[in-house]
Amino acid sequence: MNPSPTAAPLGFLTCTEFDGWGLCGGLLLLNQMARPLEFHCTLPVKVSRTQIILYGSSMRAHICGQVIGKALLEKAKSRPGLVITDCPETATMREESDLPLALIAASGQQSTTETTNSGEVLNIGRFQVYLTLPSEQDREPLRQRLRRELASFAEKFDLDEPFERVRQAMTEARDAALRAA
Amino acid sequence: MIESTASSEAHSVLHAMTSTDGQAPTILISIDDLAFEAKIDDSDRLGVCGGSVPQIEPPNVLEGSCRVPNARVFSHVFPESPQWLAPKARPQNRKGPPGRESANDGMAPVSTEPGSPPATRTRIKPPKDLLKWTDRLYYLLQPPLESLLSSEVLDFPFQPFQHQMEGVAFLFPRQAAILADEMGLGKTMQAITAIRMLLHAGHIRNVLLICPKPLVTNWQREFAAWAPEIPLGIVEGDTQKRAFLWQQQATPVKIANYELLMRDQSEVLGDGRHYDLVVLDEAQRVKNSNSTTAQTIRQISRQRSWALTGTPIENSVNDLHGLFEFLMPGYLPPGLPIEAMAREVGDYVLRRTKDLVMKDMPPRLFRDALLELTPQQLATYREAEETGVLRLSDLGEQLTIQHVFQLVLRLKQICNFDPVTGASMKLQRLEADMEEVASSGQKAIVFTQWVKTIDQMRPTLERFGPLEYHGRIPSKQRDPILKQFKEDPSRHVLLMSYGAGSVGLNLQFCRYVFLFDRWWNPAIEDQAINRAHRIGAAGSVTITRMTSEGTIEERIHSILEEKRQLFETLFSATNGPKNLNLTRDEIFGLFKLRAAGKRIAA
Repeated sequence: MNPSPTAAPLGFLTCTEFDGWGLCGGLLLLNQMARPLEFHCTLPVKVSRTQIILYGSSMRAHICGQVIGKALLEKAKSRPGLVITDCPETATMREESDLPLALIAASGQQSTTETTNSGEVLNIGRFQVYLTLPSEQDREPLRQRLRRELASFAEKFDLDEPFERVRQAMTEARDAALRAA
Repeated sequence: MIESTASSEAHSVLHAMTSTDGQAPTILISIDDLAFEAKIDDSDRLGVCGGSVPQIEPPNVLEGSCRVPNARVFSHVFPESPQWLAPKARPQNRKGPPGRESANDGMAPVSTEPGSPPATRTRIKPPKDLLKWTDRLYYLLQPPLESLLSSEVLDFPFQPFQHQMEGVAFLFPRQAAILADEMGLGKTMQAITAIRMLLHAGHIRNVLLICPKPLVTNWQREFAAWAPEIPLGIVEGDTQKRAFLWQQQATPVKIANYELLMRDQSEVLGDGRHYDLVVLDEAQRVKNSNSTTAQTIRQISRQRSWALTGTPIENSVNDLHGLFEFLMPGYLPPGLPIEAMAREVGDYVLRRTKDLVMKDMPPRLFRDALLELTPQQLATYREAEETGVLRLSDLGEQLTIQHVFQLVLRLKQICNFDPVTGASMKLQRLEADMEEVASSGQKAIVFTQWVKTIDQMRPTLERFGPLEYHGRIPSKQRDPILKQFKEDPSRHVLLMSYGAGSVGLNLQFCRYVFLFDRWWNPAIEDQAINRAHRIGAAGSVTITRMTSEGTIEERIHSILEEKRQLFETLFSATNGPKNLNLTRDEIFGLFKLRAAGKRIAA
């Protein structure tokens, strides 16, 4: 199954906390050949003590999903056909996003598929993928297409590999900023 | 809307209403005691007022936003994704390099099982001298090289080994690079693949590859195997034809040899001639930055400069200075302390040894054959040595290194063959060993310093079907000779000179190497040995080093062995070798003569 180079890009979105620097996010848009189209990353988001108190345990999810994830997707020039994240907190943006979102996690489970109204759990390669679809769409054709695209991509590339690139780029950005400071 | 209670860290109970509907959260705070960290001016602090009229005024409410500030985003859009348009020229039946199937060499080719992502991830790392972050991003965000294999975009005849992928990842982003892998690790394939990727990515359009003349056909073969879709222009023929070939802009890769380059200076340096990449194979040719070859090559207009060599410090660490004058003129001053030099060159040089990357490769089995001279040889040798030393002593103040050198060469020749009777203990031993080699169906290479020695040994070795490969063999005949040696089962031995046969040839089907006499420099001997001991070697390679006992050869051998131990230290130790050739003192010391210490070049 050869991936189509003309399909909508895939967005790989993740957040990382650097000690003493704060929470940063990165979004890498790839074509179906895993080649980079766009990269966006945030400066660290710093929160005050008041905000930590007021948001409580929901703080990290709020920053990763509503603040960082939203800001990064707003900057994207191309609209990704699917946003993939390996960060559960970032995945909380699914409630508001009009984009399909897939949360991946390493899995050693047998291949199973659980379908719910808004999402499903897929086992693709060595990953468990929790796929969530936007609420106001005809879900089934979209679901079928995304499953095909994910499987096609995963045949050639590890689903977690692009996140290595994003983190490496964010680390370089951090190092450059610290050198400049 | 979720009602939550804030932490008790606030001095009083605080009821807050936070929004989860995507709007900025709003808190409604009952002001009875605000002492926590929210910034509230005293003017905002309102107390509850009392009065005679029992009217309770509603408390003032402070409304404030505790919205987390928007994240500042840095964006970079790639101008275009590199297009990988290589045609799929071959069916996907990748396998290991030739000979590997039958050899348990322990190397780990890159895994590219169909339908599953590669197990390893070799990333292109931007070089340290690439400072602009957006430029660095380009490399940081590329997929691992293995994905090119798994996605079947670029076809490879064999699965590359991990160290080869790392070599490609090293070359790809670099404007200046020395790939200094030990012989036999596949520098040619790594360079070709990096060139191929750069061409397909549109980063370069025209490449000039310069190599020794005998290796031109080898490069042609390797390009045909690893990048069959890339048209080559081989600069050869008469002046008119070469001028035409130099002018061809459409050919992405031109291959020229060093000798020819000197004759075609006006063409290669002509107005408007520019190359996106110039690659020097066996780049030690430019180690002497004052040589005409080095000076000419440095004048070639180019963007990227790569040097391939298995012996970056063939004679002394200052050889690196010569190489860097090609790569980055002025970057590496001569005479730099070795620690500083190692630091400066670190990001530009990649050197791996077989021991490092192929731990289970078939071993090299060294066998030192310490041979007594025949009685005739011994008599001639003693007379020559005594007479020679006497003459040297008589020269007194006029004694030069050249005088000593001449005597050494004379004695070494006698160690090979007695000039009067033709007797040779080495040949007797070689003949006996060749019986064993031939009877087991194996093949051997014999190296010597002199073509005359080849002439002398040939009659005795006739029944082993000897073939010759040296400076007197015309270039056009050399490839057919190698082909015949490989394919004709009756040809068991190839007689080679160090000069013609020590570089660039792939003879890994040979299991035996004989060093009939010894070269001055262990690096040159290693190059010779590695014609057979390289990737795809069919099994262990036995190297017989012939040395005549009690002669000048034995004394040179001892010194060279000490130097061999020091050879690799530049890139891994702080106290590296200053000189790999024999020093003036060492040469004079061979005959217990005295001289001021000054190095000579072999």
